[in-house]
Amino acid sequence: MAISKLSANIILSRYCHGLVWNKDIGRYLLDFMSIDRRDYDFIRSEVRRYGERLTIEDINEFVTLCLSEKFPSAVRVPRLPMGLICTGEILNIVDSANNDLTIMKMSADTFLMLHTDYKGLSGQMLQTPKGYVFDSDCELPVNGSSIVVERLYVQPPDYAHRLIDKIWMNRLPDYTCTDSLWGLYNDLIDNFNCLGSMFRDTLQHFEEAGMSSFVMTNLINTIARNRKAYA
Amino acid sequence: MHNEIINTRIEDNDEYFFVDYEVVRQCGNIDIIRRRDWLGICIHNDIKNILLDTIADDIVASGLLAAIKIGGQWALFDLSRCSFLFPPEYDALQLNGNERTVTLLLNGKQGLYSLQEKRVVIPTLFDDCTNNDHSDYLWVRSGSVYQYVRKSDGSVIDLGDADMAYDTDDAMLVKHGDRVICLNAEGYEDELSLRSLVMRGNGRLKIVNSKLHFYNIIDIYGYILE
Repeated sequence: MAISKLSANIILSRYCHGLVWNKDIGRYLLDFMSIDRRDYDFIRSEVRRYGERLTIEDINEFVTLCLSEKFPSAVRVPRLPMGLICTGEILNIVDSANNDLTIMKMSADTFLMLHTDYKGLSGQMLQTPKGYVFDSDCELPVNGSSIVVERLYVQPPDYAHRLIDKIWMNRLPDYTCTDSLWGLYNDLIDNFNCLGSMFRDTLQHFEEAGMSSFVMTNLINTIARNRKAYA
Repeated sequence: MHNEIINTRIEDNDEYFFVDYEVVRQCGNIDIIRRRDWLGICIHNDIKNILLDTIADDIVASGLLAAIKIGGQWALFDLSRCSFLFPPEYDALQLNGNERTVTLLLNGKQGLYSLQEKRVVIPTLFDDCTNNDHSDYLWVRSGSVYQYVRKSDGSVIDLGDADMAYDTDDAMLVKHGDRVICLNAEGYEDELSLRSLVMRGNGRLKIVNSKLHFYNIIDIYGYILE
């Protein structure tokens, strides 16, 4: 069962500190304090005041979802013109040799390569020609060469990030999406070592740019992976 | 049958030509008048300028339109043309002034009349329906099942187990859980059309169900942000 926004709000605001690096999967995940019996009784009494019921299983399921390392299934799209891709959207491209390339749209005609099977390209910028259309068998210029796109997927945000947006970025619907994410990306790189203490501020900057926490954590994860790779 | 009632009342009314009209109330530029048991309409302060003979049981005027009750059923009368837009055949009417439409009620079912097109665009077969006719796709609800009626040909499009349907300009938008999807004319999901609509608003789209006073803001994936 998906728990209500009210219950999620209580759990996240009281028991979640921010992000913590998980070295096993190489990604930042939400950092939860342990929730014991006394905490459970507190949460249950809080939500009961609003006529809601919550079981230990509900809380466990919610926290597990928030800590899940898996994203929901990517949606395959046969064709996608650049003009219909929003800043911050993540595309997953599989080429004819079954190599994987995950990119995020950063501005009208640039992408950031978040993750790829091609060595040394992660964290690099990818520029597309004007009016480019992603299509099956289209050629994508990558670092002076080009790859043939076999399949294209759009990666939607997962449940946990959408909850974070609703609770910590509740003004997100008021902001339209920024034209360019490069400024925010460069700020993340500059302030990377103190992101833990600036978690809420960073969320706010992304919120004001109309970008969700899903975009933010994906950028942070890319920077972190690249730092480790070059360390 | 409706014409018979109207004609009988007109004939009845003519027989009592010697009875003076009495002004019952004023509604803007018109007066509601009474002769014996029935009501009619004349220009304000000009009893000789009759717009509708005293043939009605009840009259509710709004702007250039008047809902006329005759024989227990309601008709719609156009004051500017002094003619009926449709005869008395509905149990109730709701004039949606801003939308230029009229919600029709018959045997507990709703339909919609378009003042722009001067025709019934949604037949009185549904438990609820939209109150505007801006789009070719007009939402209707039977029980908890939402559908769209295509205005151009009257066909009904099923939406599966949709939680909500919205007033739209040029597409069918349907809520499933916490996500809104866009459907094409055949009723299949059309992701590119949704993207196109959301990108027009720089990554946000506000969708409204004005009848239910309900709106959502969605992102490029169709997820409801608010």
